[in-house]
Amino acid sequence: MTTQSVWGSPSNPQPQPSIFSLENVGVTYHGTPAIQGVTMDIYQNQITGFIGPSGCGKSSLLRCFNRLNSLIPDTQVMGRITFHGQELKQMNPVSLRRRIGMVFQRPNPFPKSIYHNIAVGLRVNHYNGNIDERVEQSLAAVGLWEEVKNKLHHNALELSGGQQQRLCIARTLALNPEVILMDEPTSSLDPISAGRIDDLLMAMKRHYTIIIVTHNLKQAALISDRVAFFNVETIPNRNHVGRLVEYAPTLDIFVHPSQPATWEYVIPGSRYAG
Amino acid sequence: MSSLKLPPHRPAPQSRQSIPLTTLCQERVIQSFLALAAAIPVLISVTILGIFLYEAFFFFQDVSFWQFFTDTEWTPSFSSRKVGIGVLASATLMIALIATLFAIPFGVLAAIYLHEYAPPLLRRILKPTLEALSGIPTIVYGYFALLFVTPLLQDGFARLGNLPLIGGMMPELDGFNALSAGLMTGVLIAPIISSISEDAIANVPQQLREGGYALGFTKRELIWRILLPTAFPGIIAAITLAASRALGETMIAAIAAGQNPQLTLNPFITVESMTAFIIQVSLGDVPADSFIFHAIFTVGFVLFLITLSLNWLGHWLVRRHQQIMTGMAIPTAEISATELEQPAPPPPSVSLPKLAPNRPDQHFEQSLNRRDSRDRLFVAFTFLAALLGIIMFATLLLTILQQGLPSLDWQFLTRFPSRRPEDAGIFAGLMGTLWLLGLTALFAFPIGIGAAIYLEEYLPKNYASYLLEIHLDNLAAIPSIIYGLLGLAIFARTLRFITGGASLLSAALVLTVIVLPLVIITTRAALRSVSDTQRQAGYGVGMTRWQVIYHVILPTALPRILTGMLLTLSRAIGETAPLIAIGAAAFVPVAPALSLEGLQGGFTTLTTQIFYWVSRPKVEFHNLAAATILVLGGIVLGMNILAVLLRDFYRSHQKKVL
Repeated sequence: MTTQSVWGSPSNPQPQPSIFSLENVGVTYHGTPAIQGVTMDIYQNQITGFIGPSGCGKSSLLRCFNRLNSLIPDTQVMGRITFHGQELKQMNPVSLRRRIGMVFQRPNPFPKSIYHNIAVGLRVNHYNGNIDERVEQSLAAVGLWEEVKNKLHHNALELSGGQQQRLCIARTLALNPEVILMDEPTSSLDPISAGRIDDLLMAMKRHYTIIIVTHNLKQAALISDRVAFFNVETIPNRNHVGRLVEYAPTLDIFVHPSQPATWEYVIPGSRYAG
Repeated sequence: MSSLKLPPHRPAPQSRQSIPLTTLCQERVIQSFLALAAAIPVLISVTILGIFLYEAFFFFQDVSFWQFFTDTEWTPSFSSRKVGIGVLASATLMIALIATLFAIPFGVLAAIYLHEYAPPLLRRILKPTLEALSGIPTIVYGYFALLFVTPLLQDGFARLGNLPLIGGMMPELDGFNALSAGLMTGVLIAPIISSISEDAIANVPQQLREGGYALGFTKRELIWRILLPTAFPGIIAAITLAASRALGETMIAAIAAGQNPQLTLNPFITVESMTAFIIQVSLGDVPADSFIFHAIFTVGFVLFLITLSLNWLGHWLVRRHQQIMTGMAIPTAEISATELEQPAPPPPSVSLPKLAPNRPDQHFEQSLNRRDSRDRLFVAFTFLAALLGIIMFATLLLTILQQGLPSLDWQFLTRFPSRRPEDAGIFAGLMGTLWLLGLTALFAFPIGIGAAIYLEEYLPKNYASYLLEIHLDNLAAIPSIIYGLLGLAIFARTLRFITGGASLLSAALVLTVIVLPLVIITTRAALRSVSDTQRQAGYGVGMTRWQVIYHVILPTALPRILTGMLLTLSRAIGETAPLIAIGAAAFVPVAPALSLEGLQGGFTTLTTQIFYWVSRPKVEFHNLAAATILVLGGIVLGMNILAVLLRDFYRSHQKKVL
């Protein structure tokens, strides 16, 4: 129960311990760099928002945390990432992904029953508790239980887009991950469904470390504790490459950013305002 | 080019007038010919159906439907006539079942290895070898089943029979049996299952894979729990199409399973399949309008209906699966009714006490080593399945080289068949095969290319053309023995006054009908590969439609058309069953002469020669058959190499032009 005090103190002003530590991290596809030279720490039990224009490599960076990039041929991750002080490249990707969940831009439930969608992850990871109970808990946690409890064995594709995305979050929660990566989880949803997901993220914030990529500045401002702003730079003789421009507590980023590029991005038109 | 002169801006006097009349006429005439060619496949289907209905009508004048479906014996030529189709059907189904049961694990596992695990270089070797198994003439499998697999199994059975415990349970294996025939048919259809399953697996959206990996699946777990279930309808389609091929397979069953019709599901004894019955009857001289003549057509009709419905089902499943997979890739953004009714959703239950991370989570066993070793075992299995192609090729080649090479010499190539094996040669068969290739190319290519041009370039794309496309797919999948029956009725009987009966000309026409759908399909694919910008460029400089086709499209598509032609011909060269059905002769003492009489004369080919030699009891003749297989294989190989060279030549040639 010693951990409970740490988890149960959401408004603890003390800086949280760092969980991920990145040193000069970059990703290349077919030899072309997508993002370069990222050095930052991700803190426990905080929501870290990644913002920036399209093509700045924030999704590529996000996929480094659970080593999903290694599944794409000709993709290389450079630099050093540590998870709890241990180098990520040395860890078994399968056990790593059980501890680091991920929710994708487009809901991707398996074309199976709602129940199966959650149970399958538990089964492959040899969960030895009561699966039915865990399915119910996970669905309740995302507020989906009341809506689907009578059709648990219906195909998950019958759900609406928003429900599907919540199911995908429930699927991730069921594995009890320490970290949840989210790649624009609401961008393909209608506003009502997106709002529900935002509510859910706020509720989850106390319990999980969340890294979220978003294009929605309002979402970033509302839910994140810290925000990292990435921008696209043009290297001479090469293509565009993403770089970390500024990484600071949310308030700083949105109220008094230190970099002109951040100003330009979070307050469009600020250039003309002087 | 120092002073570039632009043409005057005003129209030239002639261009006011429309296109010259002769060009217009030419255009019309060409289009009519092309349409006529495109109508031929439809004509073929109508004719097949017509003949079958006609013959079956006479058949059922003599026997009742009741007898046909309930008799438990098949003795159509006895005086106490019994015609239970169940007898032949049981053998056919048993062979197809054994084949499918063998081919499913091999095909699916090979597909998994090739798509999920194989390094690109290895895949480039394994995939063509596996797929080439479907291209080996089935007569070769028949030879192999009878003379290699059956003795091997008999030996194995005998060894097991000597063991103390299970010894008493081991049955005797007949020299002809459904088991070896089924296994070899399985090798034949495994590549079909593999290549369609691979497409089905490839169609699973990438996002589902990522979803699985993100939940901590190993690769095997992802394949087993997500990819295969999602691709399942596509795999079922693959199995359906493969089963249809197995049901219609003729030569393997006729050679290795025997000619003893009995109602049984025992795979160890001699039986007779539907196709073997047709072959058996065709070997004798059957008078037209006799009962037995009607009987082979009725059996053929049943086979036709079964394979046709399986093919329809299979193609439908493939298309449906593709649609579902495409649908899955499109986001569903609509809001469900329940969400709309509750505009202010209650905030989700914030209490996550049991789900809050309290690591280390003792609920998850540390079983990574076990999962990892299972993964490795699985990869090993899939790899072995993918090796099937190479293993089969090596075994086939070694066996046949060993048995055939001693007989293979110049005299063997230049002599005529003989009752004495040491004097026998394959000159007649070789010439027959080469003649048939030439004639088939002469008939099938103009019609096939013309039909393809009409279907691809002239016919508007609508539901009717979609049906025509399915129709062609189905024609291509009809067992060739069915075409043999068509040839027997039309070319060898009805048109006897032109073809001279069971002649070289009839055989060429049958092969033409068989390869026509393939020629059309490959040519259409070649035409489709020409980009629309080239067509528009042609029209842009004022060409008529035919001029665009002739000057722009055909030259660009030519390499692919030519390679397609060579590959279809290499399929035609391996056909045996339809040639026996129309009455290929066992002994032909002369090579065909270059005259009408020559065309109307009897014929033999390499494949029919192999069949007759394999059917003889003497081992010396079996060795001659093996030597003939080597010659046949050499020709097929030569054509394939030629196809590759031709393609490469045109590629480099086109590059130079560019």
